[in-house]
Amino acid sequence: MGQRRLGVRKAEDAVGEWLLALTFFGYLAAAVLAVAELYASKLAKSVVFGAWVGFSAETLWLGQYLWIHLPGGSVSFLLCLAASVWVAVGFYLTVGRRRGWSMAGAFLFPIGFPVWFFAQVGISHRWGGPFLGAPTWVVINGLAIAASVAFFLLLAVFAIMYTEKERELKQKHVRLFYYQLPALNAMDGWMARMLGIGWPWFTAALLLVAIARQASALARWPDAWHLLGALLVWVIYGVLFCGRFIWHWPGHRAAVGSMLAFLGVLANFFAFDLMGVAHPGFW
Amino acid sequence: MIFSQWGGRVKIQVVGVDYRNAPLAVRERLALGGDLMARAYQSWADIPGQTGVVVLSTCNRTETYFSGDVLLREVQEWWQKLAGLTHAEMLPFLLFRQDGEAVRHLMEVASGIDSMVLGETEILGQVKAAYLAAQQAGRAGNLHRLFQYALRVGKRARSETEIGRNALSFGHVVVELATKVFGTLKDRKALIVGAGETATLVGRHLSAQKMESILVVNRTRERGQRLAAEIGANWAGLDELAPSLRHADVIVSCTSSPTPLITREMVAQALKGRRHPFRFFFDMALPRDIDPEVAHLSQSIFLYDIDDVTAVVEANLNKRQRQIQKVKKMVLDEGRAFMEEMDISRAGSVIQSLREKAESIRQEELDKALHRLPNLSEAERAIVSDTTRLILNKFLNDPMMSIRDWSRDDQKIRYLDAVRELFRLGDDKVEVAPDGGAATSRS
Repeated sequence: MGQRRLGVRKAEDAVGEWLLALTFFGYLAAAVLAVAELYASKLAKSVVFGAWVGFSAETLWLGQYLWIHLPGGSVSFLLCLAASVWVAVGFYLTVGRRRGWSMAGAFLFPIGFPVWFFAQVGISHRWGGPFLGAPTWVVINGLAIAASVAFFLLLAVFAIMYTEKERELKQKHVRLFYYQLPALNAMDGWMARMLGIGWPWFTAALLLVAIARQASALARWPDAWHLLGALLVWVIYGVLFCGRFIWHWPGHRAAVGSMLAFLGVLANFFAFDLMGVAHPGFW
Repeated sequence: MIFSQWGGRVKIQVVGVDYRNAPLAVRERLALGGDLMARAYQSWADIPGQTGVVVLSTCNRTETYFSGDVLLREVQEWWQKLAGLTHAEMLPFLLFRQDGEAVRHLMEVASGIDSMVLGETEILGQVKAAYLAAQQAGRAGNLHRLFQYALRVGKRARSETEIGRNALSFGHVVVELATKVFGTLKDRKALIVGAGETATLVGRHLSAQKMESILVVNRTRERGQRLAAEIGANWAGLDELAPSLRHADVIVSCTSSPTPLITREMVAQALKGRRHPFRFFFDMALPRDIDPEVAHLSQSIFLYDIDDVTAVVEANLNKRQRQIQKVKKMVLDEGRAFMEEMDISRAGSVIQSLREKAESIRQEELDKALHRLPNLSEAERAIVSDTTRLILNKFLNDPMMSIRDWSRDDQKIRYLDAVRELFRLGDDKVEVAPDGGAATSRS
């Protein structure tokens, strides 16, 4: 009986590895082709194909991973980071390309792919601690984190696109981005939308974790560093949110702020969670 | 290569003048527009051997495309009579292309790579209009398929390459730059300072964008109001300049003022208490109308002067030039497809002639045989008739296949004439040209 279970487990691991490999090559191909698409628009279909391969494989992998690991409640926060790339890619494929964002892929995949890759490396090496809480809360909270980080990632992508195009226009030396990227005003609008969706999700994630801990009567509260890290990210995006919607910041300031804020998100995941701050959770 | 190899299975020629080899003074005398076009089509019927003509007359070229066995001398005389020029006056400027080269020339013209303004879009419409005019005059004749192909190349060039994208004129570039910042200009307001030639040019382009409003600010009331009326704008005097800056998104200044009209302080004052919307300033004046320091007031402000706009025009031109090879490959592909179609249609005429001849012989001999066999029933007569048809079809099957194959092979295309000779099928012969190529002629 035990041997049979071991065999099933091995088969599951093998399938998981194949799915990860497929995701790796799908996202990698999409990253390379999306950059090439800036120079040759006829590659658009190949980008979409690569992205769909990666996205579909990751969807299956996530399903399989949760199927295996969720009953034990040991879901890493790095999984949320990997899942945020999955959400961002899904959003790009289903919504973005239909709304004239196709060129965002040239920035999304080159950023999203390494984020996903290092998150997966972390997951496979069991870096960082498991996510604590009852399974239902794990899923809800994990999704809230993944969704908010996905929109922060897309926000950073649009911020990079915005600053690149603005730089060419300001320098009066028109090159690739002048021709290929959408109008500054459009990208400014998308930045506002991404922030407008992402920050409320992040706020919800913070509230949910508090409720989850109350509901599941967990004894432990997060250590000060993780709590500080999460709150810091929340405050940074909160300032960006106010700057954008209340103080009417110009696009340039909002774009630079968005890029720095996303670095803060990555630092929070990778630095606080991995660099020896021994805590089994995010906050 | 393919065009020079194509010997001329359909005889197509073009004679004309264009901006490259004829000065404007000559081009305007040789132009065949308006009433002259109708006369041209009328008198073309008198030219012996012609099987179709299309006259393309634009401001940069006048070209006559024609098919059939037409002597160049005849065409020159026809044109001289129409334009009232002598042979000596006309000859040095004439462009002449034949067969494959003529096909390529038309396709390059339609795709815009032969235009003075590389990739311009108007020429495709002009080629189409020329073809339709020839059709209406009942003169397009054998050129129908050629023009269909040329129009298709023109459309493909514009949809599949960037040959027609990115502006090359000052007015267009102003609009292009503004759209790179604002996206659509429909809900934007423009301010034009000045009412001279440049202001008019830019104003027309902005007006075409259907902007929310355009305000012309000018010192002279009469000129300002004239421009405003032309482009559907409002007019205000120069004293309104400072308050107008507050609401304008696109500001174009092109006056001959010796000192800057729009200063840093004016713009700073206009932006005071405002959010940070984008502002695009175009200083098209010399000396400059807008203080360069204006650009440093905010990251959302863009200021382009004449040199900057010129640099964008050059960048756009370079981008278009990089598309030429793609378009040439397209021309080559479509040219090849056109020639294959012509070959197949030529093979079709040989096959049809051969089949008609064989069928008439069969019918004749069948009638004789049935006449000698009066006692056959209807069913038996039908069997005899079917059997002869079957024998004929089986016998002709292999030759037909060979004819089709030969029509696609440059080396064997002339075998079709041998078939015509062998079976005495009649006209549409292929002559061997001195250079080894083939040229169609009627016998």
